[in-house]
Amino acid sequence: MYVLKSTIFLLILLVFAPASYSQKHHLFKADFVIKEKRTGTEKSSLMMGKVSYDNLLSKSEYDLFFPKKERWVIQDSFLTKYEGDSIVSKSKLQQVNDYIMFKNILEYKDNDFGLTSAGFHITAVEETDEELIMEWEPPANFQTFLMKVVTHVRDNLLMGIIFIDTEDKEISKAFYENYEIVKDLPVPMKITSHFTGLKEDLYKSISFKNVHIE
Amino acid sequence: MKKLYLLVFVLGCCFSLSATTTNPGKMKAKKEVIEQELADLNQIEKIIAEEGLTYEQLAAKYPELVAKTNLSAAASEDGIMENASGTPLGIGGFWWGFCLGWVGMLIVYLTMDEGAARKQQVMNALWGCLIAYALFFIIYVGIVGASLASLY
Repeated sequence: MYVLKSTIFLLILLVFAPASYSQKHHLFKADFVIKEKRTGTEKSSLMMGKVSYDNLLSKSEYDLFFPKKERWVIQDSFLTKYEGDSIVSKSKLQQVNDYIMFKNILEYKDNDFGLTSAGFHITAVEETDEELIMEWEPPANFQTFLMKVVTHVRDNLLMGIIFIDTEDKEISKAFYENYEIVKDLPVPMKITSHFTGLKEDLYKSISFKNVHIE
Repeated sequence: MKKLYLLVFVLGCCFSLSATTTNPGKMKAKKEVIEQELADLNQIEKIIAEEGLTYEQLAAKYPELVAKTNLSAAASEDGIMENASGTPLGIGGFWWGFCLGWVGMLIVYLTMDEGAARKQQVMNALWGCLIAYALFFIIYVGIVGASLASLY
């Protein structure tokens, strides 16, 4: 009887635990700085302000103070820009990367960037102290444009990920650092990335301060 | 017999997991390259944090730095969007459809949040899927046609 009860309890835990965990946190607030440099046009930008993201409403708000005072609200793939209380513009966005980033922070599950669930498998491992470098082979259908993915894990936290194409060229890399534990969640306070495009390279850094999670 | 299976399994694991071509040191070096590229912007960030300048005040006080970085006077939504990273694994919907067909479309549909972005990427996946089938058909017809032509 005890075994049966334990098994049922375990099954309930396994079924409902991920859902309850993902619903545990829904709000991310922080001071942010985004820096960007594009090599093709040699243009750069700097944005500073406060951000809040609500996972339940799929809504994010940016209160910018640099380069100028503005408030941006992103919801339902629309970006509405305000100056004071007046709407300056409203436009449709194709992809909102920050949604994925904030969502990943609030629903932290694993340190492999979802590679295992996407069918990637490990082909090489190097372990030193508490650091782990892993090379992943993509599923057959990805191999037409992706040769491998490299991940760097330290203390069970994802520190870096590199995507390498079939010509052995690093097309995208991102590094996560200065993790802080906020409400039991590991939050990378700085994310640096580099995308290699056909015509230009994009270097980018996002950093957070005063992170608040509910 | 069990020991033999175990030995074969262990040897298999040893051969399948080879040494990596990178290491933590190389990863750190790659990160430092990005930091170097952003060094001037780091300097501007520090100035703004310390002096509380607006863009116009910054351009007036540090014109060389603003010119060197070609710093934009307006915030752009590009800063919060990048290279189709809102799609699964940062790979655009087209390629999911092109490589995996309807399965790719399903992956895009199930992994993205509801909204216009998902609709757009699913459409891209559909186009990828259709183009892949069209290419397959053209190649298939070409091969069959060539084979038939060689017969007559």
